[in-house]
Amino acid sequence: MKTTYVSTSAISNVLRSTVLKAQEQLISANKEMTTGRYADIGVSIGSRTGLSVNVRSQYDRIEGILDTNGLISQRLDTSQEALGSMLSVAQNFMATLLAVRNGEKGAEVLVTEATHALQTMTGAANTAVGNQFVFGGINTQDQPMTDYFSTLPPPAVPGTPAANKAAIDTAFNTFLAGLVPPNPPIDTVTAADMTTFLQGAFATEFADPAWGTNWSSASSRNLTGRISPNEVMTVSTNANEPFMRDLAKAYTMIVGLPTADMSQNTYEALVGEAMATVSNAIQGLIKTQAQLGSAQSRVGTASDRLSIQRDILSKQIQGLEGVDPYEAKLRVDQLTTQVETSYALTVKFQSLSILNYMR
Amino acid sequence: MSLSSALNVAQSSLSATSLQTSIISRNVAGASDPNFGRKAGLQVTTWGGAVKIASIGRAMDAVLFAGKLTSTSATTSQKAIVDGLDKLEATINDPELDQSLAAKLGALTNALQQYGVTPDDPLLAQEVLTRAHDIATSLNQASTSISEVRKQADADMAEGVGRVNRLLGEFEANNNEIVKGTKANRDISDLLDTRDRILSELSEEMGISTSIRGDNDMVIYTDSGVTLFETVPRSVTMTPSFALGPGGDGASVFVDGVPVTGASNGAIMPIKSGKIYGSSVIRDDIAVTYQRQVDEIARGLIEAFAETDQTVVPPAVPTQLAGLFTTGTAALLPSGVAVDGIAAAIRVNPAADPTQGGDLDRIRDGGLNGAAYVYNTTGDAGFSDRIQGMLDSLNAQRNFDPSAKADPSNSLAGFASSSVGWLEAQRQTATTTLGYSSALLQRTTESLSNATGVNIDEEMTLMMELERSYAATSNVISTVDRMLEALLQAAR
Repeated sequence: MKTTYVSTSAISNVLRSTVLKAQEQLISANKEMTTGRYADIGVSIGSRTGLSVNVRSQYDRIEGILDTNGLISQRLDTSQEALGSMLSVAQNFMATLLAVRNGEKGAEVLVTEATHALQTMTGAANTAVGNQFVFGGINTQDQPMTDYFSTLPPPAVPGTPAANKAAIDTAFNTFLAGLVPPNPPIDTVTAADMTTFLQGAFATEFADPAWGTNWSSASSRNLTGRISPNEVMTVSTNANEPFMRDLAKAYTMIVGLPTADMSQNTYEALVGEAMATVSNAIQGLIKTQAQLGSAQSRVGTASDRLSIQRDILSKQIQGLEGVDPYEAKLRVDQLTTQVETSYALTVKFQSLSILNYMR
Repeated sequence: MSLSSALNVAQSSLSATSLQTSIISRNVAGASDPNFGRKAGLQVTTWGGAVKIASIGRAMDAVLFAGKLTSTSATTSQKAIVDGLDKLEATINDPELDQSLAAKLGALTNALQQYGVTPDDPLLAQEVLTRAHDIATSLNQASTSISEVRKQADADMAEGVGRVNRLLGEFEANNNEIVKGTKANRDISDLLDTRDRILSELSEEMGISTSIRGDNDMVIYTDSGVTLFETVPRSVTMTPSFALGPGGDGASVFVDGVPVTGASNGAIMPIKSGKIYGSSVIRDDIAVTYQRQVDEIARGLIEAFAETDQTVVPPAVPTQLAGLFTTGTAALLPSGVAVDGIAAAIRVNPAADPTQGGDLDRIRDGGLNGAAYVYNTTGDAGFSDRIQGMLDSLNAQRNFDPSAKADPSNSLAGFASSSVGWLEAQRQTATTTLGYSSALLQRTTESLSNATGVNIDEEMTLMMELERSYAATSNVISTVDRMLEALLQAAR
C-alpha cells in the first residue's frame, strides 16, 4: 500500500500554476514599481476607492479655487491701485484748494488742476482687467463713468457735449434764470445764492437718478466671488459709491462753473464747498481702500489655508493609492527568482523519468 | 498430470500478464486526463493455482471528488461575478484618470467656479456647458454599459442552461450504460471516467450534489436540493430577455418547474453556486443596484441645478423646475426616491445650448423655464448669484434612496464617491473570494489527482515486473516443453 503517491499530471500542473500565478503577480508588481501606485486601486483598497475619488475631486476643487483666487487678487490689486491714484490726486487738489483760499495761488491753477483731477479720476474709474471694468459693480461690460470732456459720437451734431456736462450747464442756467432779477451778470450772484445752488440743484446732479443717467452706468451691486468652498464675499467696489460722486462733484464745481467771473465772496463760498466735499470724499476713499484691503487679506488667508489643505489632500491621495516602490522592487526580484526556479524545476522534472533509464 | 497442470498455470499467467499490461497501457494513455481514474486489475487464484484477472478496479475518492465539484461551482460563480464587476468598473477606471462620475462632477463644479468669478466671459459659460454635456453623456453611457452587462449575464445564463440540458442528455445515456454494465458485471471503469467528466462540466454551470443508488445508478440534485436527474433528466429552462433596460427584471431559471434563480425573492429554491448563479447575481442584484446608484446621481444632478420661480412672494412656496439638466420633463421628481431610467434619459437643457437654439447666458441668469425663472432681472453681465447658488446646491446635503446602498444623505459628489466605494468594495470582496476559491479548487484537484491519477514512473516499474514475470513464465513453458520432450523420447 502506498502512503505517498504523486500523479504525473499533478506534478506538471502544480509547476504550471505556480508559474502562472507568479507571472501575474510579476506584472502588477512591475507596474507598482514604476508608477508607485497600486496596480489595481479598486481591488487593492476596495471601498476606500470612494474616499480616494472624493479626495481627488476635493483636491481639484481647491486647485480651481486657488486659480480663481489669483484672478480675484489681481482685480483687487488693480482696484486698490486705481483708488490710490484717485486719493493722491484728491489730496493734491485739497492742498491746492487750501492754497487758493489763502490767496497763495490763483484761480486758473485750480481750474487746470481740477480738469486734470477729473480726467485722472475718470480714467481710474474706467480701469479694466481683461475685459471687465473693475468699478462697474456687476455691470462689468459697460464703461462705468462718462467722460465729462468727451463729445457725443456721430449721430449727434459734432461737438455736442456729453450728457453730464450738458446736465450741469442746464442746471446752472436754470439757476441763473431763477434768480431775481433773472440772468444777472455772474459777478453779482451772491455767496448765499451760490451755496443754495451748490447744495441744491447742483448736488441733485450727483444723486440718483441723475448720477445713474448722466454720469455712471455702473451697478450699485458689487461683484461677489467664492474664495473658499463655503465662503462667498464682496470682491469689488463700484463707481456709484458716495466718494466717487463727491470727487466728481468737487472737481466739476471748479471745472464746470464760470469761477473766473465770480465775485471774491461767491468764489470763496464755492471753494469752501469744494473743500468740504473733497474732504468727505477722501474719508470715503480711505474707508473703501480699507474695505478692499481687508478683502485682499481674506483672499490671501483663504488661499494660504487652501494651499495647506491641498498639500494634506495630496498626501492623503498618496497614502490611499501609493505603494512603496522599494518594496515593489523587492517583490519583483523575489517573483523573478521564483519564476526562474519554477522553469528550472520543470526542465528537471522532465528529465527525471524512469523512461530515460529503461533500455 | 502435474506437468500439464504446470503448463496450465503458466498459460493462465501469460494471459493475466498480458491483460495487466493492457491495463498499464490504458493507465499511461490516461495519465494526462484529469477525469481518469487509475485502473488496477484484481488478480485471483483459481483451482490448481491458475491465475486470472477477476475484475478491473478504478481508483476513486468520493469525498475529494465531491469537494472538487463544490469548489468548481464556487470558483465559476465568483469568476462570473468578478467578470461582471470588472466590466462595471470600466465606468470608474483608475481614479487618476478622472473618468468616474464623481470626477466629472468635480470638473463641472470647477467650471462653474471659474464662471462664478468671471460671469461675463462667454468662453467660461461654454466650458460649463461642455462639462455639463460631458457628465450627461457619461451618465447615459454608464446606464448603457450597465444594461449591456446585464444582457451579457442573461445571455451567459441562457447558454449555461443549454449546456446543462446537453450534459444531462449525455449523462442519461452514460448512466444507463453504467447500470446495465454493473448488472452484467462488465468493465465499467471507462464509463465511470466519462461520468466524472460530465459531472465536472455540470458543476461549472451550477452547484450540484449527487447520490448513488443500487447498480451504480446516480441521482443529481442542485445544491439547493432540486432534482436535476433521476433516471431521466429534468427540464431546465429559461426564457432569454432581449431587452434589459433600467428596472427591467430578467427571467428566472427553472429546474423541474421550480425557479432556482431570479430577482431577489423570485427563486423558491435558489442555487448557491456555479456560473449560472454568478451571472444571476450580476444580472439581478449587483448591476441593478449600481444602475439605481447611477439613476440617483442623475436625479440628484437635476435636483441640484433646478430653477426656482423668482416671481413668488415669500410666504407662498415657489415652484422648482428642472434647470441645466433635464430628462425632458420640467417637473422635479420627489427627493430621495429612486426612479428607473433617469440616467439614460438625462441631457443638458436645450434652452441653455446655443447649438440647439438656446442661450448660454441662461446658465448665469436663470430663465431656462421662462421669464418667471430669471434670477438676473437687470441683465448685468457680472451677476454671479445664480452661479453661487448652484455651487452651494452642489455642496448641499441631499437625500438619496437608501435602496441604492450608497450613502443616503450626502452631497451629490459625496454620493457619487460612495457609489464608487460600493462598487470597488464588491469587486475587492469578489476578487479576494475568487482567489481563495480557485486556490481551494487547485488544491482539491491536486489531491484528487494524487489519489486517483496515474504516475507514469510507477506504471513503468510495474511493467518491468510484468516483463520479468512474463519471461519467467515463458521459461517455465519451454522448460516443461523440454521435459515433456525428454519424457517422450525416453518412452520411444
